Amino acid sequence: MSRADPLAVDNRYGSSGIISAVAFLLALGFFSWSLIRAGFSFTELWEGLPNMAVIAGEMVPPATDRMLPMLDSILVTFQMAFVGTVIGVLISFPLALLAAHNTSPHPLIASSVKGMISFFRTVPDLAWALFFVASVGLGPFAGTLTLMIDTIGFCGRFFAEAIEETDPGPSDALAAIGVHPIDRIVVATLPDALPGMTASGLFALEKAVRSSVVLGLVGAGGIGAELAVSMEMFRYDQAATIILMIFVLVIAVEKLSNAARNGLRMLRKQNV
Amino acid sequence: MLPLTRTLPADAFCSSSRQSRTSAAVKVEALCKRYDTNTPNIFSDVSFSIGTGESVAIIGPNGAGKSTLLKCCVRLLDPDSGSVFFNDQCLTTMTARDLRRFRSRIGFVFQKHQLISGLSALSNVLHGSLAGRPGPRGWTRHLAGRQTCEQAMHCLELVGLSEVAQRPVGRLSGGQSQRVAIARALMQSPALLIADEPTASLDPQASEALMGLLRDLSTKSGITLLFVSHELRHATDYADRVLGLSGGTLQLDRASSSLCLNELQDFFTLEKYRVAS
Repeated sequence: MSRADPLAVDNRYGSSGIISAVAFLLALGFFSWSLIRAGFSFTELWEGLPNMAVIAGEMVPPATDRMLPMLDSILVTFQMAFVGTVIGVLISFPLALLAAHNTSPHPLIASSVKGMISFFRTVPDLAWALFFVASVGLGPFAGTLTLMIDTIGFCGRFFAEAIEETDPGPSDALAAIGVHPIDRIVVATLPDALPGMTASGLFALEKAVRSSVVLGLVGAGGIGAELAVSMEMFRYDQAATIILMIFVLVIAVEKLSNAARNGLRMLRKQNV
Repeated sequence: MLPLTRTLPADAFCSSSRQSRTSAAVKVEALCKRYDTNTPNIFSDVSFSIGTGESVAIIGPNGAGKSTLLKCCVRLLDPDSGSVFFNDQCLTTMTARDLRRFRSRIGFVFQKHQLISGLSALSNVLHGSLAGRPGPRGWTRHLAGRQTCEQAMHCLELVGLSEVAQRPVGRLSGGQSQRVAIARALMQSPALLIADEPTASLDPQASEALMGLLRDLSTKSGITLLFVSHELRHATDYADRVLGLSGGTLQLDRASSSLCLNELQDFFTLEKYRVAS
């Protein structure tokens, strides 16, 4: 009987049989086919490089002639994101309570609400934007509705997870003395879940600010519409200004959000 | 050394106190519990009664089902058969609403205090008032009325913690947290106080202080006390009666005044060998 060599080096790239080899070849074949279908071309990339250089050159210096309308648009973009997130968070809150297994009145309700939240999350925001543009018309309202649905999909899931991850002990202790389930949720479950829920809400705001820029491209209002117009009119200097404004807005929201999360973490550490 | 084959006489440790009292606060009849149909009963045919104002300790080896028995007494776990009566009301047939009303008169102190760590001691004690009066008034001290806050402060004074009322519970010691849990139970003005190994995580000094506090509350306020302890001395010093649960049945039911520590140690030793054999 052969014995394994105790000093043998672990052969992590070693052959694992014919099935692995076939699987590897199939994956490689699919990747090659996908490259063709995706139109990936080094030639076109090479030929496009001078155009990129020309556009980049025309972007410098960024235009300042339409600063006021642009600032107004970026403010509208942020306001769309803010309103969509706030309303989305408010709707996510009761939905998460119905979806979390430890607070839901019935497992069937929990499964149904989780399914609805998954649907909101898995349909891309551009699809929602097209749906709302067709329903309520062009403009920021369609974008706000899109961001609201997107936030419900995001926050509904993470709020429910934060609720499910709470320590059941304090709630069970209150159940033992006959406290009503709603009171137990308010005084025992939510204080434990709130830091996680707040962090998710702030991430949702960051996500909404980034999404709101793209939504304008399909007519759902905000700075995205300005960007689309500038690109279509070959005003790359104006486009550069808009891109810089988007960059500043996204970074500012991320920094504020990080600061708020850190503040909450410090506050929690002081109390525990 | 005791022989391994030695078995206990049928009622070696049981006395006449096993008979039901006329003024029983709690009456347990033929209680059985198992967690799984394929496993043996945790305990079976457990019957005892506790008189109003009486202090009773439950002792027994690990895994004997002491905590399960306490939880069955308030239907935190549903027993498989048998009945539990509290002031002649049968718990086993109660609806969820009646059960909540019933539990509001029973304080339950857990092995781990199970308080809300981010909230102050006062807020945690206020939650005890939710047992009798559901609604926002018991949620925080800001929503509670002045009278409720004063009552909560009084409960904290009773357990000697009024000076840390505003401190978050996460910053209190284990002994202090357990005292806050007792204060929360007192907020209910309970007729019965159940404590599941309340001194399990405390040092000897804090354990003695806590057991003394429970005993004082029981004698001064007439609260019926039922507690589980692994400290045999707590059973003899702080209880009127001692129940011994082992091998799935109640093997001991005696007045603590008629027991000495050696007898209890014998009970444990014999039970250990009986279970092993």
